Amino acid sequence: MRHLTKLFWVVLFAFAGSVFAAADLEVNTPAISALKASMQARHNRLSSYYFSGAVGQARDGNVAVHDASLVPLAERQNVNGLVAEENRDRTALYREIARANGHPEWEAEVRSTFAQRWIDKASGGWWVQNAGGAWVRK
Amino acid sequence: MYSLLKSLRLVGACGVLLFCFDASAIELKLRVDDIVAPTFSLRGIDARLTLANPTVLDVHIAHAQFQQHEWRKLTLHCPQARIENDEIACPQGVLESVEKIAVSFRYWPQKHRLELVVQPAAGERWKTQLSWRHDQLTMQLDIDHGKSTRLNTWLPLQDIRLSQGWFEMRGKLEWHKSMLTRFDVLTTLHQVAFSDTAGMRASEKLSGTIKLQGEGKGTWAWHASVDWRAGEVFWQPFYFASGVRKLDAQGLQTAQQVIIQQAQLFWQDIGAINFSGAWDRPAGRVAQFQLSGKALALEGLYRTFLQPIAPVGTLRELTLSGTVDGFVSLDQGRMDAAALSVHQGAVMQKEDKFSASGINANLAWHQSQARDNRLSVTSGMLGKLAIGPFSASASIAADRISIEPLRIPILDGAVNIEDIEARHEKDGWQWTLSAAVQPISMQRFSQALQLPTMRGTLSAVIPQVRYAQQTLQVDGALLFKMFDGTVVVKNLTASDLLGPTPHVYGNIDMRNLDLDLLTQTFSFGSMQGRLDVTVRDLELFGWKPVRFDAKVASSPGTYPRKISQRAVQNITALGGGGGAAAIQRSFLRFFDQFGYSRIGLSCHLSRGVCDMGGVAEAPTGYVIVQGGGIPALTVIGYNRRVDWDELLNRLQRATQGGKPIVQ
Repeated sequence: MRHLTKLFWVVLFAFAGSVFAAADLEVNTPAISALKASMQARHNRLSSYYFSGAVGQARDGNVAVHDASLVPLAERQNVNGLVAEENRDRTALYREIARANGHPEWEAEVRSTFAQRWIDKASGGWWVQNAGGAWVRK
Repeated sequence: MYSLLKSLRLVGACGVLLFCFDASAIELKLRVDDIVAPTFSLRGIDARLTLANPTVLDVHIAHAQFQQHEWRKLTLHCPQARIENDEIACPQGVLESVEKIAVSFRYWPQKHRLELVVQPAAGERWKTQLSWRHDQLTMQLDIDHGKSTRLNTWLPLQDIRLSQGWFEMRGKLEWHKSMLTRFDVLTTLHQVAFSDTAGMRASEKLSGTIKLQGEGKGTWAWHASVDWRAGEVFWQPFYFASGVRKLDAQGLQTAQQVIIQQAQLFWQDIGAINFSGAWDRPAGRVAQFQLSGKALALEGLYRTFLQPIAPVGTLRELTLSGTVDGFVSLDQGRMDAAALSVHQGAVMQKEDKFSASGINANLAWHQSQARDNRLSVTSGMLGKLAIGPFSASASIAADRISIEPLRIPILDGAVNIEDIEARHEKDGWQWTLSAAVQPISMQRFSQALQLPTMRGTLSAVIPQVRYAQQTLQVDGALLFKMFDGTVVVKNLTASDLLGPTPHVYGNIDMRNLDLDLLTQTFSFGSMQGRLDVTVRDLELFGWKPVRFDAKVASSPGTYPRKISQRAVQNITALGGGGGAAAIQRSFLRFFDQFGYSRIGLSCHLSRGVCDMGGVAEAPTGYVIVQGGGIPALTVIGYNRRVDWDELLNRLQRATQGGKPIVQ
């Protein structure tokens, strides 16, 4: 019976995974477009911090300050502000993509998928957080 | 240190003394017992005195400790030692540890005095004068051009390291039976930089003075003055640019508490803040704390201390001006009471979403009692709408806010807001209110919003509004009167209002709109008649439609029904038909107006595409205008699916009087 119960959960999770695999991560809505536009505009300001290593791609789908000492003192508050704004938009993006797919409960999976995407697509020289939480340079 | 000196006097008595002779000199080897005191220890001390010309003294200390700081393998080499009856001197010694350091000292055993000068680097000089008698030890400290990095081991926050800069220190310290009983130390910092490993707490080019004074046995009376003259500090999330800041504080310290009897902090661009309080040392929390300030500059206060801790969004996007008097009281680690008076304040959202000026307020809060509050605003803007003046009275308690009926003038009308209540529930604050819009001239309203000039008045009744967790919900129906008809909005909700994805949902029913007024307003081409508009499942994002199911249809009833040739052309363009060209080719072009029996157009908007329909089906499309009377004209729409943005472009061209594009 225990084996059957285990099998049930394995099948259930496998099914849930395959259902999420059907999610359209490229889905577009006005909200998603607005968020992407906002993030794109911010990217120009964040880009130099990615390359310097001050800011990196975290494993949880957010960006994070990796080494603030690489930024002049007067800019650090601004960097923190940019990071907070970017993370607010990313959180909203994951939520909106899940909603646009008709499954708000997929938000965590969307976040997790995007987290890997950001890290995979990070340019050489950027800092990213590996699965163990350690920061590594791509 | 006192015990060390006492021990040195007994060097011969407590050590093992060996005499070694050679041809030119007598060498005395001494092993001194370990010197151990509550605050320090010296272990493994060996000394060698070579009695020659000049006399040489070498001292080796295996391990030295002062409080939690320790050094290993210290060697003092005095190549020109002077040993006299009343003085032992080492004018050009070298202390070797991690690095070689120039050291000199003079020791007067009978006078109980020691003068020690350490010169770790060129220009850097640490001079100490010690004198002792009975149980009393006095230390005079004089440091010139001290490298700030040497203070790293003494910093209370061990994850912060000093990396640059230098300092001067002058002071006097007194001990009684190994207990510090008095100190008076002035430290001047120059160009000091510090940082933690993450760079979240750091300074650059920090200059200023710190004066610390204290006296006591058991209970300490202390006085601290800090004068920050230059340099910048980032202390996550705050950034302090170079400027004048001064702190002066005095108080008491016991084993139980650190008490600030009175303190004043002067901050350039803000003003002077007075505070007092007590820190409960065993509990590790604030026992009591009071803070007050008068005529503080709101702009500096917000920019320096409030903006960095505000959540991302509107509260970080403000520009404030005016002055405030403030008071905050904490008791046992919790805020107990607060009061704030605003004088001639002004607030402006950076993207001009809202603003207010002439703000005067007396606000108060107490954790266990409700307090009366008053606020008045001379004028303001909500988007492009002018509001004010208005005033509000409120009762504020720890978990409840109740605001008396409020009248906010808008243009030539007003919004009356009643039953404003806020309650602090488990998941945050929940607001409720009801409101009514007193008639506002549509002409002024539309002009203010830079819309085509409309006629009539705008009025509304809003039965109840609830707001919690960034979601606004309107219970009942919003009722507007426009274009001589009625507009009812039901099931209105809005989410993430202050966030990046503000959504609005609702259903709209418009009844008996006067087509003549409507088409005049939007220059669509003259039409006479009455119109009903039904919008279901409306979803707006950023005030733009994302989804809806809308129907426009002639109102039931008897009224004149006329449509101009231009309106026909515009409607035809919306439906994507070739009617306009057909009119031009036929005799109908001689008529300015046509009769009709019904008008109808529907749009189901989803994913940016409008699925269109009319009042009836036609063989190759759908009927938008059903002809009636003489001359009559029927307009057929042919495009079933139209891109929403394209449809808006067509509508815009039509209402701007441009030539319609017929497809």
